[in-house]
Amino acid sequence: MLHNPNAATATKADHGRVIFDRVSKSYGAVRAVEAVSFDLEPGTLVTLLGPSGCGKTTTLRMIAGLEMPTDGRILISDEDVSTLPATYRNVAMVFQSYALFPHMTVMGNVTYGLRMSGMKNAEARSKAEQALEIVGLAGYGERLPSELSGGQQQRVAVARAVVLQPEVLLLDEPLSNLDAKLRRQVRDEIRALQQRLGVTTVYVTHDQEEAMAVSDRIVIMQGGCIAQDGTAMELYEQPRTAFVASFMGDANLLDCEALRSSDGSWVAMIGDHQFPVAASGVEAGAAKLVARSSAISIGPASERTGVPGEIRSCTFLGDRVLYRIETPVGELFHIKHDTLAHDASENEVRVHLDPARLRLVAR
Amino acid sequence: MQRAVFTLAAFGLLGYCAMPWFGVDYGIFERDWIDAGGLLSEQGAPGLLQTLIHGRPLLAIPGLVLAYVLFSACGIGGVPRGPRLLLCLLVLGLAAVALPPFAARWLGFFPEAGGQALGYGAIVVAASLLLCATTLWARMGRSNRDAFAVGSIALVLVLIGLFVFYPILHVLTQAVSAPSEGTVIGSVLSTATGRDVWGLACFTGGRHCGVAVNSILLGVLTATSTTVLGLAFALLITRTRFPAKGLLRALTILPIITPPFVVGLALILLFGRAGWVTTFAADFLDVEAGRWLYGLWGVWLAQTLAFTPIAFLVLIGVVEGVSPSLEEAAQTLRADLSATMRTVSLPLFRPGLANAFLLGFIESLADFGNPLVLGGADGVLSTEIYFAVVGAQADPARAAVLAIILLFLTLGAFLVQRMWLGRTSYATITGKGDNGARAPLSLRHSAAVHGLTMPWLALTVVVYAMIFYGSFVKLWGYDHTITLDHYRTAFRVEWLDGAVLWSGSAWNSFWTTLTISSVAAPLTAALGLLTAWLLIRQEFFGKTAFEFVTMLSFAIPGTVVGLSYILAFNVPPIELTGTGVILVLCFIFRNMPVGVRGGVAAIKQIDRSLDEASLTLGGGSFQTLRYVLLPLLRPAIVAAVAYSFIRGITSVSAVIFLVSADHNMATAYIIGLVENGSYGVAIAYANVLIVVMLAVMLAVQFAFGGRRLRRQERIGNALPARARS
Repeated sequence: MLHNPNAATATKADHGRVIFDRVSKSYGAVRAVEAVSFDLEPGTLVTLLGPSGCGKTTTLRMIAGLEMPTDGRILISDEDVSTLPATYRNVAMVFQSYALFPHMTVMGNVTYGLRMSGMKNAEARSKAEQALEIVGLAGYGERLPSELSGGQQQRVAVARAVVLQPEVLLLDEPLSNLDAKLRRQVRDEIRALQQRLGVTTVYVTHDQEEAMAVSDRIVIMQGGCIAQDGTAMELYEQPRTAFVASFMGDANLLDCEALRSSDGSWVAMIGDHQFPVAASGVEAGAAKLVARSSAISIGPASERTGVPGEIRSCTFLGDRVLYRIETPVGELFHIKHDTLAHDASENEVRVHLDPARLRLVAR
Repeated sequence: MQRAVFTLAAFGLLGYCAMPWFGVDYGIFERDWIDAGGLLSEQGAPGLLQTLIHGRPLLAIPGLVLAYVLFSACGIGGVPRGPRLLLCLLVLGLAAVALPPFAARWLGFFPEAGGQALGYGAIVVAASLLLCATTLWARMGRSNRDAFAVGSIALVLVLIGLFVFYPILHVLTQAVSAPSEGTVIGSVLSTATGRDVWGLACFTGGRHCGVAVNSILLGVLTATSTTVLGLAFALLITRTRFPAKGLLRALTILPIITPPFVVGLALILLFGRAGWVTTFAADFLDVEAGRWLYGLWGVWLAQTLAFTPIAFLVLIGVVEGVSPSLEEAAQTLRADLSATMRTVSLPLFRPGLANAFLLGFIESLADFGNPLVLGGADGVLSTEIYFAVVGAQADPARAAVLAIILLFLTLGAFLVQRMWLGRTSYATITGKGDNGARAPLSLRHSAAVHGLTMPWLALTVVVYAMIFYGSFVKLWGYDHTITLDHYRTAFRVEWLDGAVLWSGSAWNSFWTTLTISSVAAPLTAALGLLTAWLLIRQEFFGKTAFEFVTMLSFAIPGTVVGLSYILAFNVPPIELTGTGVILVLCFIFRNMPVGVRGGVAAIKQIDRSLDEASLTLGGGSFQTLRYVLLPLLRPAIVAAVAYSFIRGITSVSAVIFLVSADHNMATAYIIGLVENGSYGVAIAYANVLIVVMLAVMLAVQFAFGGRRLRRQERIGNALPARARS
């Protein structure tokens, strides 16, 4: 078993804690990351999530020491490492391309970091064998990376990183080069391994489902800043901005006026229509109403309540049916999982919105 | 880090205490200086003794600085050890080593420091001081604490400064040195603008133009002909069903392994006064044997033969790089084959054509061997520089002025190439599999391409056959008996009293050439690849300028390099003329850009994430270079070593200034044979060189080749003639 020796000796709770204190990074005039601050709990898996160009990979590389911040401080295990280069940080990284050294065997790759820190060959080999066993590649030591499948190469990359028992493990889109089926399996394995080793892990991805599946906490980034962070459920249910709402799963976003009644309850006004909303993330005024598919239900046109709607298209997708409904408040999409109840002949419907599942966000 | 500083300082102190500070006669590897008293004589004394006994108090400074740094590194004596203080001391020490001798040479200060060349002791101490300083600088939190990278940058910069710029500076100062009569400016201007330089008489019915005009004229002619031929060959290979494509590709290595003037020699055998074609024409057609070959046209013919493969190599990349789908698109838009070529393909080749033209222009201007052999009365700049130094006039100031004109021409062409063409390239090499078939040539274009290339091919084959055949003929033009005499003269080996006696006249220069080339080759490759690594993988202040400067040295003609080296290194503080070292250095810094280019191309293909993986795994930049990059770069390293070895053997222009009786080089020796009219021996010697180099190329190819990734080329079926409505 790999045991983190530091974990035993360092009684201080900050071992593996990563703190960003108003960190910025610019390349010339381009600001890739702007005044980002966060505090990652030791032993947790945190995902940096966002579209490409949002600064998530730059943030990861700054933790690794491959990029130096232009401003602000980075602390790892309570030590200021802002100007410490990668070579001297106790951090390991799994690259998107795996970056396995093609001229070295699997064993050569996994022992590389140990040899660089001056460990004797025999000792390094036995450690590497343990690490390979953990990722399920015992006995593959003498192969070259080119003789392995993509999934196996990825495991070697993970073994090469964890064998160093880093304070922080960094994963840069580790699943992007795997096919869809393998992806789900490997991400579960990564999560299991991370929990077993108890190592602080930072995971970069642009796939929100992947992020939700593996993370203790998700940091959503947009334009070099943190849009919102929290657990997957918090971000899904209580997004603070339209960007977060649309990035974490699909949502209908409707321009509205947020009104607060005297009793403290919230109402979203869209034209003449009023929708009561259980909770708001904004002040009163111009806002957006977030209505996920789960907040919408459809009833027959004969009903008196709800908003009248006309089904523009319905697409059968196997385990679900996707509806596009034209309503006075705008076009809505809705997913119905009961595919048998699907009746293509009915065009006129009434649309109901569940106040408990609606949310108001900033425009 | 402390340990690194300690080791460096200790090494420096060793040099300070135990190696001769100044250069000793015949070098420290000969016994002479030990017989003359060794370290205890004034000439051979190390820095320490120079200070204590021989009255050179300035030399105390580097010793004291090194001792202080050594003590502070191991913490003895409780001396203050702030990095800033140490850095200041090291810079002071470096200044004490380097400034006085140069100041003595240039400004007349410190007269007691001048007059003697710096020796191994001074070099070791200076290197140690420099590297201690960069290590400490790196430790001060800049440049990511990467002592190896910082040290490498400083070292490469110092070396390029000393062996590229310092010599060129000497050419400039030589040009403005006080003349025997008149003012400096007047003399420079009269040389630089004289009729013999810029005269246009040959256009107005006079006999000869000025040398600069000749050079430019020749450059434009050669560049035009090589570009046209190069394009024709590129099209022949990619767009016709020409059967012997492998042979054509093989022909492209010929100029690499042929000493440049050998083509000129073969042309003399064919078209010279006693040449085959000339005598044939004289006998049967009753045409008078002319001397037309000895002049601009002869040189142009030789250069066209010699440099066409270079243009071909540039253009084949361009022609192959243009995506076939663009031509297919043109064809689907109703363009026939000729129209496709005219409206789509040729415009796309345009940047490549301009590139090949400028390269041909630079090559032609820098060529020394062919003008020397064939130029006759039509001198060009490169030969005129040589004659100004070694000829009867012995006018180094004139040589320097001409060298500056030549330098401006080649650098100008180089700058145009970089600035103007640097970014315009339509080569479309994408990651996508581009599966189109290239458009074949139209009949008319095909005929033109064949008409241009076939005569060149025939002439090239004849030329190389001449080189081979001529070396076995007793006396060309008079006595065509087959004989081995020439080889015997040059490469005779005798047994005398049980010992081998290398009694052939060529052995001396042959072994010197091989030794010097094989010493220079690995150093060239190492320096080139290190520079390439710095350029691609390291970020530092002034990197663009640094890259520009390394590439610039590629455009300095060999003649200018040779002249600058004898001007700069003939006198203290760096005195190297007459040694083998100056030849080695000349090769290293002349061929380094080739190593840099190869290294840059190879390193760019290695994904950066491999370096980053190594760094995050705790490897430093040196370990990353050593364990990750170097093994992956092996093909590039081998190519760089082989290429610089061969360039060392074939180069003439710079070498001819630097050879000495002790260190004669093959090419210089052959030129001497040609000047004496011993064509047979000269050609026999050239043959042996070509065979040696071919063997090296094949051995390298055999041992390390075979990693070809070139995709199969297809030529589309000729489209049926489109019915025109």
